[in-house]
Amino acid sequence: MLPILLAIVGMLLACFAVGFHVATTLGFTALASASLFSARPLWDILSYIPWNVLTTSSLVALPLFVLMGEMLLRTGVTESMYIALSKWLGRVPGSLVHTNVVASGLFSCISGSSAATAATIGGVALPFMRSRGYDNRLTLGSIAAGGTLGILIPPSIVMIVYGVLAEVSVGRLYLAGVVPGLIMLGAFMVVIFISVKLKPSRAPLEPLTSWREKVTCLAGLIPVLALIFLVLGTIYMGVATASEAAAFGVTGSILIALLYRKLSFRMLQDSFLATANTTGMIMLILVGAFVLQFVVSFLGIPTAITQGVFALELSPVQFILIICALYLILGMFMESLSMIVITVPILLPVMRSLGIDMMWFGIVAVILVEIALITPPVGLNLFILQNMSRDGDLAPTRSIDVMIGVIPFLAAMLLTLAVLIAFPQLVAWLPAYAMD
Amino acid sequence: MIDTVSVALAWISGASFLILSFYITYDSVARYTGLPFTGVSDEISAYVLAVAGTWSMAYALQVNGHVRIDLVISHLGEGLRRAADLLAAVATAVFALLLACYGWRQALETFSLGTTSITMLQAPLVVPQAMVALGFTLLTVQAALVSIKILIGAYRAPATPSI
Repeated sequence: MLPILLAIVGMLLACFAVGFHVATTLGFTALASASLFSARPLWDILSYIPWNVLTTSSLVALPLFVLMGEMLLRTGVTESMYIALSKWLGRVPGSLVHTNVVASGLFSCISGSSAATAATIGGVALPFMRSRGYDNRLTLGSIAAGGTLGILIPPSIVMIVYGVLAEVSVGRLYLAGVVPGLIMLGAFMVVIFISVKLKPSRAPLEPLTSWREKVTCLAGLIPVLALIFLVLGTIYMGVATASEAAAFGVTGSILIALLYRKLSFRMLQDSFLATANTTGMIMLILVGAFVLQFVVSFLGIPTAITQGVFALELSPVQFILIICALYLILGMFMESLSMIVITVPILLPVMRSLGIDMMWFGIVAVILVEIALITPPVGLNLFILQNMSRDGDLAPTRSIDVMIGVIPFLAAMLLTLAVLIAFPQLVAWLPAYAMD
Repeated sequence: MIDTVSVALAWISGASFLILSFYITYDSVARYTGLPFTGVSDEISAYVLAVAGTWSMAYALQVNGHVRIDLVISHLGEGLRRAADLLAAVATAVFALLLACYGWRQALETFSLGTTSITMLQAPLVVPQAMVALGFTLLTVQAALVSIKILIGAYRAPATPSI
């Protein structure tokens, strides 16, 4: 069985190396493996697997959350939210750097994408903070790391993909992500606090604002908070599935766009096309991933890996630590979604046989994917921040500045991961409390 | 022409997600408030996802939205990079062609058997299946078009977006 496994991994790597699209890579590897190693032809799976994947009703949440995020990006709601938060956090040591991560956390509640979160918060914060003399590395690090919360705090696109692959309820995964998301947000704030205490010049304090001003600014948070209630509150109360909550979110976004007088044909058109782009990309990848999952299972590879793991007498925790190391290495070179769709189909049966809770592993995997977003040489959020900070009159940012900037936040993420591995109940508590 | 069709279908897909959201919102609210509701939003959603999802694929390819891992090819020279782009587009065209052929075969089988969904809706499955096959067909044509554009040096890939 080992030669077959090596051949499959080799084919995946070869297709990636020559720059095939991820979906094509998965599909080709599946079909080539089936042709080479299966005793009977498996071509017929191309009829029913794509149809089954494309009509998976829990996947409906995916395009709807993407559409919601795309419309909100174009309403200007983020600017009002950022200003409101900055008035409240401006006098805390770390001032606007704290605002970056809290605004990222809040924006993550209405966006399922880390790249969108980093780009949105970066777009609002970077020009202002650079001109105010904030430490460039700390600023960039906070936005790059804060942006990763987009896929941990629900709604999350990666969690929907994982949920569908691992057959875990997306609603449960969403609730499971809340506590780890808050822990990570808190860890980021501690990092900022310590960093600024060590060197206060990294973040100047913002001017005093009156209580009246602070309270007035809260109006800017109301639409976002209402939307968060509409999306997460309805899942938490058990009145809506993830797909229904996503539909509420889209409807709510339309109302917010009307409120901010941003609803226009152009705005809708841009949102439609951006949603189609992301949806088309992910759906094709999922078709490829499920075809590969079928072929890999048909060839008996997960069973062989499971037997190998049992032969090594690894405990579930040891196995998880090995998987973490594998993800950390993969994360240096791979894009988030690809990591999930390639590894989960192969690892899933092994995890199940070791008695590992797939919901808990989903959260661990999402955090590892978040780390992948900010680990060089390939870290999407690093690229986004470096590109964004090229704009304007100030000196361009070197990639090394962003990389150094994220290091303390990376340490906070690894620490959070260790806490969640040591105390899995932190993940399981909220879904059990709300849904059982 | 192909590009225009891809954009039009992507636009329809995006719009259908918006309409679907309104429909699901109404149906859920109606269920809780005693207003008349259809109760088939799950099934309709699945068909919309399948059709709009596949109709978006060609547009995603047109704007370079399909993810690639360009760790190696980003270090290649102009000529080799173009060759890699061409290879990727051709490979995607072949994969999409296979999906389209098997998609049409499934739709034809469903049509000849007159299969409907085993739900209250009893939807004739040939309709969404043929629409899905159409989406894969357009993806095939779009991938072929991208390949030709790369070959004649007329393709400029926009930056790849990602999640």
